[in-house]
Amino acid sequence: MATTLLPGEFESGAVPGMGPGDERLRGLHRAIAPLMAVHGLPRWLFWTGATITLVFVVLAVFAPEIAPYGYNQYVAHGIRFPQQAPPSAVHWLGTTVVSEDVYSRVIFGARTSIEVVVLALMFSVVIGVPLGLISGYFGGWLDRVLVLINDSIFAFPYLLLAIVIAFLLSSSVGGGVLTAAIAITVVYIPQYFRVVRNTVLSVREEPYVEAGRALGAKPRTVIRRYVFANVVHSVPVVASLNAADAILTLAALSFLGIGMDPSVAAEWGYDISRGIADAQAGFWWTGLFPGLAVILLVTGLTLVGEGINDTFNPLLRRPNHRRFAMPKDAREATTAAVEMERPVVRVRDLRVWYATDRGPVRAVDGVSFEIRERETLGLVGESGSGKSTLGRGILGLLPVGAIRDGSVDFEGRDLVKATQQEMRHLRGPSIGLVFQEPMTRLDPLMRISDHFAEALHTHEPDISDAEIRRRSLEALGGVRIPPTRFHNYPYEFSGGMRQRIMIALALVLKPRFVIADEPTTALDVLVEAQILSIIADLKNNFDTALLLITHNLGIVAESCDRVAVMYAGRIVEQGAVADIFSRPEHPYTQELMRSTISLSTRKLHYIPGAPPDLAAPPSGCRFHPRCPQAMEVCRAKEPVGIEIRPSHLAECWLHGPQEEIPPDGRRPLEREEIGIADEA
Amino acid sequence: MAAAHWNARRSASQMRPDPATLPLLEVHDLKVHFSLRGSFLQRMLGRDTGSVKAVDGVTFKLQRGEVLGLVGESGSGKTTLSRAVLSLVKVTGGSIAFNGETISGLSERQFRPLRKRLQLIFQDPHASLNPAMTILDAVGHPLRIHHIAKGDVEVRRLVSQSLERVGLVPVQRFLYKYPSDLSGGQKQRAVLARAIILGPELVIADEPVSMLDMSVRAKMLELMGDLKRDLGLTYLYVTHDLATARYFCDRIAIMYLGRIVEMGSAAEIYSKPRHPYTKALLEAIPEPDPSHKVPSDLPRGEVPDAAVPPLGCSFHPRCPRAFWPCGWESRDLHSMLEERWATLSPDEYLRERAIVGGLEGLDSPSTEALIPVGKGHSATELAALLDEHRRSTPEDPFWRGVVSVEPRAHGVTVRFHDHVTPELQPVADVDEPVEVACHLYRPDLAPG
Repeated sequence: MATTLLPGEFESGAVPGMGPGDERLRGLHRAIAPLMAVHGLPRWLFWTGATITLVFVVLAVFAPEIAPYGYNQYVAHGIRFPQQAPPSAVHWLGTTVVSEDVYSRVIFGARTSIEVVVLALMFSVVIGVPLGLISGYFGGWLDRVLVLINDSIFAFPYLLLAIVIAFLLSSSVGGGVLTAAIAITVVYIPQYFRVVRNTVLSVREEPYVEAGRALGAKPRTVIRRYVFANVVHSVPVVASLNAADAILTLAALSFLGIGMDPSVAAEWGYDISRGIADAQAGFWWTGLFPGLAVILLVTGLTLVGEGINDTFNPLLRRPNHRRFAMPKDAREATTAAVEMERPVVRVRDLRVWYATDRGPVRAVDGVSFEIRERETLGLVGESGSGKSTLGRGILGLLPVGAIRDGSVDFEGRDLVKATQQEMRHLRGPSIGLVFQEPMTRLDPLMRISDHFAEALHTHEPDISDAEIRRRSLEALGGVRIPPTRFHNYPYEFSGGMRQRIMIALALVLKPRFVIADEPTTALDVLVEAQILSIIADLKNNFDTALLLITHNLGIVAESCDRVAVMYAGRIVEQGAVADIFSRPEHPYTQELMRSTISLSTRKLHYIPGAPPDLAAPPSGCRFHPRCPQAMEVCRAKEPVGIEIRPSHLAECWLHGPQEEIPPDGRRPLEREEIGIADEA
Repeated sequence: MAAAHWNARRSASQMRPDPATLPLLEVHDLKVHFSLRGSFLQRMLGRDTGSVKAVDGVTFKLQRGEVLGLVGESGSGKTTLSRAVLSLVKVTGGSIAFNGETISGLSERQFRPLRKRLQLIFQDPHASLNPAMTILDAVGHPLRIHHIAKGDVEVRRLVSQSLERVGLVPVQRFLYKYPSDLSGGQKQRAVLARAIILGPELVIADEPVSMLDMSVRAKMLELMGDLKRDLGLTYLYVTHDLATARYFCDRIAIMYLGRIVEMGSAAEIYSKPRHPYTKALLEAIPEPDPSHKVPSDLPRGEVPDAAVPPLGCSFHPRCPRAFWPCGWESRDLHSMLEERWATLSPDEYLRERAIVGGLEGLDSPSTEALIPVGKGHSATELAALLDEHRRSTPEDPFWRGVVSVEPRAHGVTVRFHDHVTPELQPVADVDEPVEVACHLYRPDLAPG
């Protein structure tokens, strides 16, 4: 049990059914796996599209065997076919004005379409993708020239362009499949060029590409294995959507009579154009069936393309939201908290669980604490502890598929039970937020003055302009931003100044409670010191209750009055900063402090192992696999919060409650050897 | 064959670096400037668009077997410097020598064989491994690039050896995994394995632990220390974190806006920091000790724009101890006014703002600044206002740089002292060598 499996791993240590030698297969398996895993509407659409496309491909490949007659055939066994005959047992889809069998023509039309489109796709990919790669990777004048050429082609009305090329080519080369394919190719090259080039531009800046260069890989190796391998996923989507478009373009060309020589091949567009005259005379079958064929195949290809996009594009992927509920016993367990006098916010047994394919992930699993006014509570934890989820969970800013339980008492109302509407009204004037990345939180198109105006107007619609200005400048003054910069845009400020503006924006509405999630992580240490001192001021000037979420114990010691240490979704220890730092009682807190490298560190210390998988946390105390002082009871029963000294709470069997520990529960736990393979 | 690289190094590892021998890496007056794109019009007319002086005259030596920490905040140029050493960015001036041979200015083809001896580990373990390559492919790629190993079996053997070195065991469990299957600490170990597989002599580590959790950092540092000992590695440790640098480095170089401002043995730097920036950095670190509070009088402001750095000493606008030669100029005047106005009430601000005209003229650096006077006010009023400022904040270093404040027809001319650009100078009377680029330590300039 103790070995933590890596995500996606099975007990035997290998992907089932594969030996170490099947590396290519492994790659393929990884590529296909998302497609197999997708559920719901996208899957249904994709497979429908794929089926339709497959049917047409089969028709195309086996056309001579499937079609009862040739595409130009108007006679069989010496008997001429009826002219413009409606669908019958002999001619399933009727005949045309020149006695050709419509059914056969539709099938051969499929062959023509598929042939032309496959050729065109191949050419476009073979030309467009390498050009995009080279252009994106090398940049410079080559890039500028290629972009100019491709943009010009792209800007040209595509049908007109295809017509011109087809026209020119057919007079020299002839009006066959190749001509049509080339005409279509030229039109679509820019699409591949663009998509690949743009993907390359973003991948090019990734550290692993720089790593490839630093290893000494030649440019062509870097392009092939480091860039292209990570860019290639964008091509199939474009290819399938292009294929759909290409069918239409081909049909349009033939419709206009420029596509293909009718004696060389059957083509749907050509049939449709002839079918117009027929329809006016009441012969509906000659144009309808080719038209339906075009629609079906294009739809099929489009569904395939969109299906691939939905599957592989992480932004579009919708997680599987199987409805689930928290088990009753989980919800009933209560957690202890240090009780305060008239707290501003009171959190009790808060739980935030996410839905995943492996089952619910218990990111926050029973957390209780309180914060008074003018008090800063530091919530400290490493990655995977659930601290950020907790911050967002209080505010209700959780992604779809997360469920909450417990209560968050704020100004007489329970935030967990509040509606979205109510939360919207509270966020801002009552509860302020300061996030980690100030660069991405300010609207680059709005001046700072506009940001303040918007914030104030939203919550105080009747406020006057003069009042907005006065309060904004007051808030900015509090964070030492000069009034001369009031009308600047965000890009005109440095990172530290932007974070100060964020704080000012959070404060201008004078909220009673502010949550700051890693507010200084992205900043330099001198700027961090400035921000921390501003944060310390605000609780004095505004009577704010502050929840400061961080991974840095130094910041907690510097800026917080009380601290709560989080591990694997639970608060394992909470109390006054002076108390916890001088006498940490929970082994995790002790280990964390010993592992922190500060200027006074003489000896390195680390905690072996890794934080647990929150989808399947360890039994009993979640820290027991890594705890140097674990006892038998720690594995068997979840510890209960104990007030070790006034206002200092810890969840640890080392401190009791004694009566709940079974007779042999105190025996030290035999810990399994924790290897690197299980490490964080 | 690659195993020979490792074994040969063992004997080298036990020596203390001897300053008299040839340094492994010697950087002399290195400059790396990136030209700015400028506006369309500027480019059309062929005007000079300016450049960002990311590295602006850096000189240091690195002896075999030692660890030199390059410490600085964002914009200090430490990352650019490390990339320049590895020929991943173009050097604009100065030289870099590796084992006595000049390596700056070599073409990629000439430099390629050197990459076996100079390696790089990155900050973000989640982004420095190619997501499309298995660990076996990634760690084994250097072997293939440099044709060290022939055949899959040989590559696998050497990769396994490297993985064992960094503790990724059982090896079988990691060889065929993709980076997304590994944790942050495991990925960083894989990056280390890739870096050492060719038996390099110098490893540049760019913030190797800053993105790892605290409980894992120590493990990584310990591993890096073990490798240094076992493989005779020399490290250039690039970081902003003075705490880990103290633990890991023998010598420290503090960088600010493209220059080294202080350099010396770690013991000396941490016990007696001399440059005001170094002092500030050390004092600003929040310690996990509630009785220790960060001082409230730390330098304000932020690292300035590297395209047009401050005159003289780049740190002077923020330095609490700056004085007359440090490079006072018109932009400092602009900042001084703005900072003062940030502290005033709205009415006071409006009153003062009206007396002062447009401040755009103060944005190009100059030792003589003309502040235009606001409409309806006189130059003498403006001069009186500036005098009021001086009297209300006499300890502001800004005023030590001002020579004169003279009313003119349409404004006030403020003249500053000529600036002197600081150079790294050794400090006298110390146990271990230390160099500082600060006028406070120049007897001919410093007050008293």
